[in-house]
Amino acid sequence: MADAAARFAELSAAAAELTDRGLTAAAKWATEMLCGLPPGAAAGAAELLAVDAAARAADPDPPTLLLARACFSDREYARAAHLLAHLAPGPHSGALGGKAAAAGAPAKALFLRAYSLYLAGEQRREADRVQKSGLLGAAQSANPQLGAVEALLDCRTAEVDPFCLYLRGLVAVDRGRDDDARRLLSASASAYPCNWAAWQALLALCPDLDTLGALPLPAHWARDAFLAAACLELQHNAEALSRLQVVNQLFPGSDWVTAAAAAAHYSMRNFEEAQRLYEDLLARDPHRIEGMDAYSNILYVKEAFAALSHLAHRVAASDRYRPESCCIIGNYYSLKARAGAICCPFGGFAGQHERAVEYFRRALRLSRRYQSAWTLMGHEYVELKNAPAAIDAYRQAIEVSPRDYRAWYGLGQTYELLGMPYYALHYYRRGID
Amino acid sequence: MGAPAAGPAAHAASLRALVQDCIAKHLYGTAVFFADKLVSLTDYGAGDVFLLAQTYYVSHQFRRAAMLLRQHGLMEDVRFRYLAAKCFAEVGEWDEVLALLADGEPDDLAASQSDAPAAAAAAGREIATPSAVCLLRGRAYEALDNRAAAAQWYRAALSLDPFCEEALSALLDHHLLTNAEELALVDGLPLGPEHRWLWLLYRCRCKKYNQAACMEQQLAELEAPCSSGAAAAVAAAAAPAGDGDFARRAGAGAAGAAGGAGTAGVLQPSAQRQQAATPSAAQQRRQQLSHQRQPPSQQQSQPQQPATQRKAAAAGTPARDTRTARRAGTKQQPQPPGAAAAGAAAAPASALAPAGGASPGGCGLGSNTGVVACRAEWLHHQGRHEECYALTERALERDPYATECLPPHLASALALGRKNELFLRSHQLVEEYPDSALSWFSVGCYYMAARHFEAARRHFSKATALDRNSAHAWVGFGHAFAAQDESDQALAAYRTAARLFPGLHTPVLGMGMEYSRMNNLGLAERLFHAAHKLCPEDPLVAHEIGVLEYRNGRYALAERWLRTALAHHAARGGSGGGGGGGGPAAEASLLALGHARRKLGDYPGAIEAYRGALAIAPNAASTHAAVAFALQLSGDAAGAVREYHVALGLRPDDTFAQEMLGEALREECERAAGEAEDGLGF
Repeated sequence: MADAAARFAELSAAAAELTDRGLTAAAKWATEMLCGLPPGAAAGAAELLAVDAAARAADPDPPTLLLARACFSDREYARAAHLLAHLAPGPHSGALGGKAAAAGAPAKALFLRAYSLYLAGEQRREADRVQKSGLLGAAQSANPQLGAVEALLDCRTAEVDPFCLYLRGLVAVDRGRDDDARRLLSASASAYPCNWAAWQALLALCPDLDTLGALPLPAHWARDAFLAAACLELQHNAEALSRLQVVNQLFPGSDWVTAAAAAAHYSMRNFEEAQRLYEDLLARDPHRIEGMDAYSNILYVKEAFAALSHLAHRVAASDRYRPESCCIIGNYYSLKARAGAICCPFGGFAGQHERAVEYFRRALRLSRRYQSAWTLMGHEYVELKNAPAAIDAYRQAIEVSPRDYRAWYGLGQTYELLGMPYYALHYYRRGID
Repeated sequence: MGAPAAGPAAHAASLRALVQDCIAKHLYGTAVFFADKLVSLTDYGAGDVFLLAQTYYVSHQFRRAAMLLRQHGLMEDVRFRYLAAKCFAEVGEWDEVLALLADGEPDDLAASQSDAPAAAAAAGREIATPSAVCLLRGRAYEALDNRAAAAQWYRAALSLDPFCEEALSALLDHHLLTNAEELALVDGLPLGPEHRWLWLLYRCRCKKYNQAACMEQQLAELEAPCSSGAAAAVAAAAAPAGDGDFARRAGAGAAGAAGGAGTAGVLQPSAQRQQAATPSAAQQRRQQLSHQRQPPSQQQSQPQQPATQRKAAAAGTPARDTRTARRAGTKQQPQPPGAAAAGAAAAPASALAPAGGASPGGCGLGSNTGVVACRAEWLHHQGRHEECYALTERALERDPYATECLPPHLASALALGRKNELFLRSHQLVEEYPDSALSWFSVGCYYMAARHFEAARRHFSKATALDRNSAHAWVGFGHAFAAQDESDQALAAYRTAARLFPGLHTPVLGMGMEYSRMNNLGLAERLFHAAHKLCPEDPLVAHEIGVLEYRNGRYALAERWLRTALAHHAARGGSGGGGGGGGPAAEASLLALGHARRKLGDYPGAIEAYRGALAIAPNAASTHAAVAFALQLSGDAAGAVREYHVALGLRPDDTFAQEMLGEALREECERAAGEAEDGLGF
């Protein structure tokens, strides 16, 4: 119980810290885990929390930082970065920043400034990409602020602060220096294990189990969660499940664990169990969208038209401009097209495949690295007998993540349709690997 | 079984026990096999033939069972005749049923056996056979479309044995009686004070018209946790019912103790069959729920008529008024009445309560699905859809097949526009119960919510074909036609519903609305008044009568009726604890009231009513134009100009407002010029 209380205090503090730094996704994860702790955990954590609250009260954030954070929350990143220029120690005042060492307002301001710059660059990059290229166009644009961020983080503070380390890791990823990035990110995760964003960035850098094994990781429960997620990503599903079991004992009510377990079952093609878990998840949290694309795939495979339609309407009502929502709606239209061939309870089935493609396309416009949307779009193009477009979509899927056998399989199938057996054989073989 | 010497009697007895056991274990084929051998062994003894017939019955060989009973001339005993009649009922030969159950006058029969129910009630153990016979007669007459006779026999069944719930269900679900008759019937049942819970439950299941004063209290008493005394009473009375239930499920086998010719068990299998045969019986309650919601779409479907308007405007009588009101009126539809003025019903109710009914505690039935369904209907009646939906959803989560909760659930989902939920629920229902009218009714509701009236019509019609007595499906059918302005077909559907369910006011109201739409005001008036007689508390009825009087030019009357409608809305809104003033449904009444008052020359009053309507629907261009018109008539040209501008801002193509704005501007200028002249003159 004492452990649970300690975890409760740790996660509560982490939620506040992460929110302060604008790492909202990581904060969401931390709070999701927090809510998953056994019910008694909060009781023992009171005094730990009180100490933390007192420390925060003693060292209030300066008003400019508050304003910058408000701008940041409002997605005005460049403005936030500019506001913080006075607060955060710049690259040339490195010595001054070094004194303040790890935590405290200067480090926080520095991180927020650099992160704002980074995100401002990402925004620009996204805008450029949309402007310069069509959806399938290959025009790649780089984040224009990388240099500035790098310069900003080239100081003592950034050597110690776990959040700055994380950001440097992100920059290294963008620069293509994977080894550097792995080092920086695992250092960040070791120094501050509750920052799930660092773990996730690290996850993307581990193409196989060996790399994973070579990483210097802290002895912390977050490590178990990370390893479970990594196994899931690398399609070592049974191992992922057993690792999730461990995490589940610490966080028996966590939605994250349930969702991960459902994804593992889904990857193992254990649809019944996965469906049960997803339904549990939806019953608890009916407006959840994360992970529901996998659920919609299950419903698609089982041809549960009513349930899929219900899900599609529900996510459309919750937020129709999420990539997952678009993917679910795409699946819905695709199944409608298939159902239309069999029975016709709704009439008017022409062009459902086109609508499905349109929705997958929209999902990809919202998130270009959304692999399963690429694959599903490939499937739709196959249905539409548009082999070149299908091949292109599958190739994009493989580019995002070469580990997905479905895309390889789709590629093989398309070449088979085109009467190119050697190509097909080659890709099927890749799929097996 | 090594010793063959056991006497034939013992042999027969063991076979009998075996057959009973087979029935209890649902091995009907085996039961038939052994019962068949048994009759041969005992040379067709009466009891054994009956047992064989019973086994035929439970294994669905109805004609064979009837033939067997008839062949052996065993039609003297009422129990045998009853079983044979049940068999004919199963195969739909209702004339045979009536021929078997020697006919009589229900009243005579009730009189002749008046002591029987007392005995049965005292024992409290079984349903009186004559009561079951009467119930079956009622079903036969109903199937032969002789509804008056059916109602009479159902009543007889109930008065012979108040525990014969199916008779009450048939009466209530098929709306054979008016509200007052239902209440009188329930109050007249020979239920002792120890059965107050049952009396309460019966009363709560009656139509909710006119019950504002007592319904809440009755439901509260049913739901309140038991006091020990009340608990004992319920348990005592429920025990036999529970046995019956079990026996029913066990196919009468549980009554094996009664020996081969089972005297006690006789009625139970029939009860089972009856249940199976009319799965929808419990589902047809509360049509009121299901209908309506005619659509705002009518607003689009009735085109504006600039020419008439202009003419009318010139004459100072916007013809549009009635149309607007009428149109808007269709939106709010027959919500069941909430109630004002139901005080009258309260007094007799408490006077008639058995045993003064002063039980301090409740009945502890709060979690019972039947009571939840009553509560849900009551909420729906009052237009508290949100609460009704939440309540039924919880109940359905516990028991997804609680059919009695489904109609209010579907109706409130439709009222709230929960299309997605309706979709999923309908799919599940159709998948699991494709033969149930309720499933298809649910699909119809979904299409109504999705505004695919054509498909809705198809599915409602399918529901009515599956179960002619499905009141809500009939009314929904009518509404689906009405939504598409198909007055003739809508009238036909409503007319059928009114004929089948004489106690129900919604079809009558719907017919009136259709006639009103077709400008047949005389007929419409008669029908509205008939609906008002059936259900005096429905604000929609009062509203429609008010609009009708308006169209007839009797403005004072119209004003009175509309105020009545608003009072009903307010009473309902008040009891609902929701927003004051009766919510969105009251808007049309307020608007119409404004028009009526304007006609009467009461401009401030009219403007007040319009403002009330605007508070509910602030963006209604026509209401703003109406305010402007009233202002103009009362001489405030400047105010009128302001309001006309608001109206035109909301709907630029409003020709009435355009034209009148020109008028108002001219008046305003002339007045200003006059003032200027006066000023110059002095």
